[in-house]
Amino acid sequence: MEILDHLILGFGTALSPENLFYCFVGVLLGTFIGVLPGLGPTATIAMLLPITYYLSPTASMIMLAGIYYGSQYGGSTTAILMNLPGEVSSSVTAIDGYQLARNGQAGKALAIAAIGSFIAGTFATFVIALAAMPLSDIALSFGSAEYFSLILLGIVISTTLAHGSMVRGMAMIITGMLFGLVGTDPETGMFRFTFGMIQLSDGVETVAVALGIFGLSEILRNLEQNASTGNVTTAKITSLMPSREDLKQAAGPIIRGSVLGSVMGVLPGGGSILSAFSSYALEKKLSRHPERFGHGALEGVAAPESANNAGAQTSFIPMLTLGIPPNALMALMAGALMIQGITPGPNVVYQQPELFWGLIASMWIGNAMLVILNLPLVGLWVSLLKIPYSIMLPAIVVFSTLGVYTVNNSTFDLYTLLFFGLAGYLFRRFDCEVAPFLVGFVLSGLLETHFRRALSFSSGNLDTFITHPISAGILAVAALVILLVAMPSVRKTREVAFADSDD
Amino acid sequence: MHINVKDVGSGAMFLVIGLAFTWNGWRNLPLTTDGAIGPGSFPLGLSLLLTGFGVGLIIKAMRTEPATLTPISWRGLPLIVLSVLVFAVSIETLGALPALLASTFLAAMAPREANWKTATIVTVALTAFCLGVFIYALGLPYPVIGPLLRLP
Repeated sequence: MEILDHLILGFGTALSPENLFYCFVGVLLGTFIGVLPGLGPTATIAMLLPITYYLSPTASMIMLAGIYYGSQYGGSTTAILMNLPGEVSSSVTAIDGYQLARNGQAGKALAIAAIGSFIAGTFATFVIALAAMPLSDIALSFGSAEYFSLILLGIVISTTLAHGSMVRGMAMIITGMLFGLVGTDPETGMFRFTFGMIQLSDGVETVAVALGIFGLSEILRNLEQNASTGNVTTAKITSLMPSREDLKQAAGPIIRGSVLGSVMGVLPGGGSILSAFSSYALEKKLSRHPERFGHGALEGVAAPESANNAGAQTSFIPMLTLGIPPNALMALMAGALMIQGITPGPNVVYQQPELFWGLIASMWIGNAMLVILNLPLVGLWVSLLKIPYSIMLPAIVVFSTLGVYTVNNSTFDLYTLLFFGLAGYLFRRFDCEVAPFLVGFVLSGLLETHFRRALSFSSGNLDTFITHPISAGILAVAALVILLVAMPSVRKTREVAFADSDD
Repeated sequence: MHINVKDVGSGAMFLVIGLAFTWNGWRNLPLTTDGAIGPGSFPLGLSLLLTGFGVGLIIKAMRTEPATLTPISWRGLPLIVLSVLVFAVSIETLGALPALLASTFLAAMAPREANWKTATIVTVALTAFCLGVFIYALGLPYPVIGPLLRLP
């Protein structure tokens, strides 16, 4: 069995003391920021990008991945105990989880959430292990026409699946794409949109853009409101052990959540948030007693918690195998790889097998660590919420500033940080999600290169995208998605599905 | 007339960015080079599309319910901007220690409930932490005290 060899290689890599340590650091940090509202995994990963430069590529990927799925565990803890979702993806968990906690069943809800997450994490690890090789092989046979269509499909799906207004989402992607084109044109060597600034000839620094648009703008947004974490009531944790009946009741939702979450995670614009919302909706539809949802249904905790963890992990698949990051967080992971001189894409699995399989194995190890970290230490995490925002805020600002400066030792990057921080703040004020911006920023160079390359092979014939059968098929799917979303009935469902997701 | 501020605001931003890229690209970048597609076409398509979205949102704003914006924090916003600016200006001249102290303190004063005492404690602790991690542990080559502050 080939896959067995891969997994042995993976576990061999992931179990080395160095990688084990960074896996632990990652999941610990992930839980930490998962518990704290107002600091998401994307901003955290952006802050740590400069530091990963000093780690080995494998260790840095393992640590950053741990932050992402670790934050899914941490987010559920405060969602259940205090109705305070630390992450957007746990806001569904809060609905039924908090009700359970108020009925004195907090321990049960926490345990089911952790068990569900662990099973889903295990399942998703195997999905990645099985899907990676075949997908990479397919991707290697792709030409520029196919790649162009695939990226376009990704952009189309990510605007339709992302929450918030679709028009704004599309405009934000295009804005990001335009800023992504700033710099030297790879084909002709001409400077584009540098507005006379020589520092822009290598493009806008990704770390500065990401930290500005995610970190700094979020801080400016938080300063608008009164920081109020004072009077939250914490539910008492009684017994952590769920009964046999509870497990039986949760088994179905956990399995369905794992599968649905894995699928949703692969989709562009997907990841943990979409996974959690759709699996909650599915369980409610399947249940014989849908009226129990919202009043402490155990399924309402088991399903979304399994799904968000599975989705967080499988969203690595398109980034690692196709080189196309499906969401903003994966765009940063791709950036982390590029800092190390590795181009994300189908070649990673062949040229960096240790990194690839080590990362996958570390996900399973990290999930096991998380169960141990979360259940016995739950009290510790809850007490973290007593850290006032007035201490968190300067820390985030200074780490961001210093972090951006260390990338190129350039003060110009700091002005970039400020520019995108203020721009991101304005966008957020006007209800524009900033995540699509980063996706567009990272994808535009790739999209343009494949567009131009495909056209130069076909000597300028635009029908090259349709005469290649695979490319034509992908474009047809993209057209279908646009048509579907334009249909009034679908549009209404979409609005309902995302109604609760505005944070 | 009721106008949705959020629609107008986002529309105006997209319009301005779209026009800036259209204008700059149109003036400087050829649409084709030697018969092949040039560096100007792809961005031109994008920037025109974005301009269109901007116009669309502004038109939409006339017909939607008015929205209210949350008030800007006039204490926090300038302090955060200043914090980054001060760091940028001082890191290479005054050195890492003064740069970190000044920018952390400015950021620490940004929240409404901030006070001198805690801000000072936070500043000292964070500066020590940053110097420890970045200069001593990671060995970054920034002078702790910069050339402007050194005695001849």
